[in-house]
Amino acid sequence: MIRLLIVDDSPLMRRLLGDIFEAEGDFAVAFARDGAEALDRLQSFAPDVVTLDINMPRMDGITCLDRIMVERPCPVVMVSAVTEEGAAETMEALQLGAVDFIPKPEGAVSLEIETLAPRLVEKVRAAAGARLKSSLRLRDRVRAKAGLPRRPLPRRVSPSDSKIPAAAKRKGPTADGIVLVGTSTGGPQALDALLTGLPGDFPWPILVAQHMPASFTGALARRLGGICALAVSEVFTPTPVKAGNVYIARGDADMILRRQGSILVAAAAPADAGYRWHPSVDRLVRSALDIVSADRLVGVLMTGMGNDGAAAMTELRRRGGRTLAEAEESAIVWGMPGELVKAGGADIVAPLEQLGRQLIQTVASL
Amino acid sequence: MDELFEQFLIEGRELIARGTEDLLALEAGADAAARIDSAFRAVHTLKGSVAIFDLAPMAAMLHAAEDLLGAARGRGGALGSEAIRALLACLDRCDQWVDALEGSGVLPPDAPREAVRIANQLAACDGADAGASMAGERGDRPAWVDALLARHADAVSAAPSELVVLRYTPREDCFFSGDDPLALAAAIPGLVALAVGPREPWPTLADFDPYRCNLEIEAISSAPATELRQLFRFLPDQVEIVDVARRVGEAVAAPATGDSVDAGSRTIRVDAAQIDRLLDLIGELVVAKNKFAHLAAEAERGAEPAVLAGAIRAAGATTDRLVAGMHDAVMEVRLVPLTRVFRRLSRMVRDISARLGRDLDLVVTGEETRIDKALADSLFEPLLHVVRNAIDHGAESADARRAAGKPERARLTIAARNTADQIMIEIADDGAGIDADRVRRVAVERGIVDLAAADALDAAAAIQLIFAPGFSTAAEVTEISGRGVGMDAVKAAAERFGGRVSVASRRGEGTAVTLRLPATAALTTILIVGCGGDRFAIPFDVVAETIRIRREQVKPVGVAHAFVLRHRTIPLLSLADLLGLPAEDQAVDLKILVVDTGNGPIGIAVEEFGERIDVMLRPMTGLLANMPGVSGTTLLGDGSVLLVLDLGEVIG
Amino acid sequence: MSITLRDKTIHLEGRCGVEEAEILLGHLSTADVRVDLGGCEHLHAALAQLLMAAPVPITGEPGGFLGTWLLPFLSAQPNPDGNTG
Repeated sequence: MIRLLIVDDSPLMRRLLGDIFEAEGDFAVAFARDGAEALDRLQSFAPDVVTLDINMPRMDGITCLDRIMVERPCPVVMVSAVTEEGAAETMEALQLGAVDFIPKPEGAVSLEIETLAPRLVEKVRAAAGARLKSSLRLRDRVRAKAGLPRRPLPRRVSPSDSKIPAAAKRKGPTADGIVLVGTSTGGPQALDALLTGLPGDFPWPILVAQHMPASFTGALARRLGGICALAVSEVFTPTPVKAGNVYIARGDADMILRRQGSILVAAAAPADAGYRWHPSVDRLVRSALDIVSADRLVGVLMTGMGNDGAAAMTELRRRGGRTLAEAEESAIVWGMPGELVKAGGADIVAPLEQLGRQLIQTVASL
Repeated sequence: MDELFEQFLIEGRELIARGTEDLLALEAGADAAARIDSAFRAVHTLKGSVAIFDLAPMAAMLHAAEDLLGAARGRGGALGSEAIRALLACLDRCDQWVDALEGSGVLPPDAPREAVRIANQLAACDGADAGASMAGERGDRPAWVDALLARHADAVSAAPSELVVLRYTPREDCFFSGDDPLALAAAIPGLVALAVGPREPWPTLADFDPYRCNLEIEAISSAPATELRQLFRFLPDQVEIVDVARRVGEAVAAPATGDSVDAGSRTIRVDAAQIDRLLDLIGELVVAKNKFAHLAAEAERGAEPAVLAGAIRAAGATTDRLVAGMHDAVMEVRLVPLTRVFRRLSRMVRDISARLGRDLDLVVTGEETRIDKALADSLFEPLLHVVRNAIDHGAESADARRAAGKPERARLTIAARNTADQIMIEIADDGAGIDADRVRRVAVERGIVDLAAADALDAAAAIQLIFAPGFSTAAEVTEISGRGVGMDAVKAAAERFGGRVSVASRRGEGTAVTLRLPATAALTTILIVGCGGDRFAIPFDVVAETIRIRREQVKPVGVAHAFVLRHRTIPLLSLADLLGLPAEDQAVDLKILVVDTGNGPIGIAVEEFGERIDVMLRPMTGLLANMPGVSGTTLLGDGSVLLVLDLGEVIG
Repeated sequence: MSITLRDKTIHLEGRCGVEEAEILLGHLSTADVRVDLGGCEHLHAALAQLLMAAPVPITGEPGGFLGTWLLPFLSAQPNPDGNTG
């Protein structure tokens, strides 16, 4: 049995989520109405995994998450409103140690519950088995013991902060190769680690497909832009790719690489139903393989459940490109990188903290 | 899904009430940050719930409300009165829609349009772009409609007269939400003409982004506008639908706002503690029931009849207690606070006073008073009548009030309280009051009473005539600067619920209309008293004590009488006198009920004290319905009917 | 694949969805190409606007909504209705 604690102030939402998981048969579900109650239940119910709403009375989800991570760390899946603000809060939550998030069920449930429920269950199931970053917990424990306030996090970076340096960096030379990064569950934290390890003059543009809903990738791009040396932008309209830049695929859609005349552009494309997860790593890599010689491509596959990217990156390697997979020891969920390794598609398997250095060396050698 | 939906109805109403309460408090100048935060959360959660169901217009509207509140929250809290009004209007509409959803399961047909309108209002308060054009809302037609009709004059002339014109401007990134504008266009029923073109000139193929939609679609259809709105219900912000069937000036059919106030909801939210209490009682009842089996076995074994009878009586008493307890518990479950009714009233008061330009202070008390659910659901309409009259006819203009030496702002009180078995709801204003002479005159003119009868009535009795059917029409009542519109309807409604209504008024000082309603159909403890050779029931709650005094202890005070109880002089009345019955009792000792009906203790002499029993009160019906001083009847175990007196009214 | 290029003619067949816009865009840049809609049952708006923007001749007589209502708007020439939006 997976012991699941559902924390939500809306009885309706508790009921909806409760019904979904109870129908699975192997979930033992308990409920809490707010953060304070959640902390109580944490002790008495001892859940394997928690779903946590962000906006709640008395103690909000972020504060509650912070306390969970300090008092009784366990995998937490945020239930996030699909809004700009929800996205920013979710980013903060992931930073604080939440394993993953699910968008709050929306739309005519009677129509969509069949497609929605399996995904929720899949994510929560994966989270239940996720491994927590002990370092983060330790840091928070120390901080809590010292009585320090919650760590201030970069929230919304105002346009003036991010755009001016971004524009300056965009003048960089047209690169002779492209890095393609794919990740899912645990991806925001992994991207933090990977991208902050890269210098501002990293020679190849980096295209990132991080599985996420539409409204979240903007917040992801803003946050990454605020903490790493490269310019980070979310791709809405066709954008010429340049060195020194990170291009985040727009959520709930796909990103493809396209040739316009002599230049390469990253473009958003409506999600192709032929792929299961979006933005699709497989589709991104295949679109690149169609127009760029494989030896000018480097693929990086990091934490995430499922197998998106494994097939296309295996093909990438077969055609002479290089691929890096995150090692099992650091991945929150070793699904996608694991599949790549199992398919024999990985040149290098390295833990997260070494991936940046490995990427720099790989690109330098090409 | 149905259970989920029912849960949504309950939760939705609570959230609407909470948000409304916060906004009203904000308007009254409460601690802004905390209230905005609370209102934001209510709207946020409500939006989340709405999003679960197929209610796109409601969700879109709430989204705008959430944005507005979110922005205010971000600023540290400050909402203009304009914004508060818009937010209240939004919640008000939600409230109506929840009612409509409960009644019919769907939003009213005008919901998409209404949602866009309100969302635009909210966005305008936010200082943001007012958004989509609201051409469809106005009587005059936008130019593009006529241009389109002119371009397709041939097709239009060949088509039936009832036409709907539509312009669909898909969002640039609509492909990303899975929209296919042409699939929607293909689904337009009754297509008469179609035009598809670029919104902006086409770029060259080299610069073409195939995933950016640059189309604009115009169509003329012979299908009803409601069908088209249904088709485009998820995209109210991207489509304009104009009904060109009716010429300007012709009335648009009144939208069914789903004001099914009477369709009382069948769901009650029950405190878990109440369920627990019921379960406890049932547990005890099972034990008591088993006791009977045990006693039966005892009887078979030939137990002593006297001993057995005692045991059976004891078991019966236990069962009685439990049944009474369960009855109470179930009745308790049926009780709901008046909060929701009063909040809706408060909103209406604000609306009406704003419309009439009357500044007034609204004081609401006793909204926590609990009342039978069925009653609460039916109370809104009659109370609204009274409130509307109080503002419309009672409250004077600021100038008039200043001239009369009164505060400029009129004051309206809506108060509820529990008295014995009744709920009293009083709506009082400090306005001009009712002119009793004019009421008499109008009543005579209308043939409600004859001149002699009217003159015989004192002022207090005369103004009760406003409740008489056919007393007046709106215009005339406004002239008497009193009230009367629909007052007969108020009376009828109150009586339908087993209640009564009365009015008290003083010229220049104000008017109070009081509804007395049975709180529940629950068991009531009564005291049976004898008087004038008859028996009557008195609700035991009003009886402070029963005493006997000697006749000579009664002292005359003017024309009345009093006696001293514990150093306090208490007026003494005789029930026989009060009821107009012959006083037969000449006993040396007087039997006196000391009662308190809210105006201090009063002694009431009766001829006999009877039993004290629990009975089921029945409201007065038929011929007895109008009998003053009687709050109901009850059936005794011997089959006789007892009148239950309303001492408050008997004393007058 | 419902979009194919054969002998300088782009054939659109069956229900053509948004995911083929990229392919159609690629084919449209072929010199002297024409488009055959004869076997097309539904044209996604993303494809339709490409055909509206591209100066290529269109052949074939599709049925349904596409043939009855949409076809007049698909060629890049100014359409007879003069719709300017």
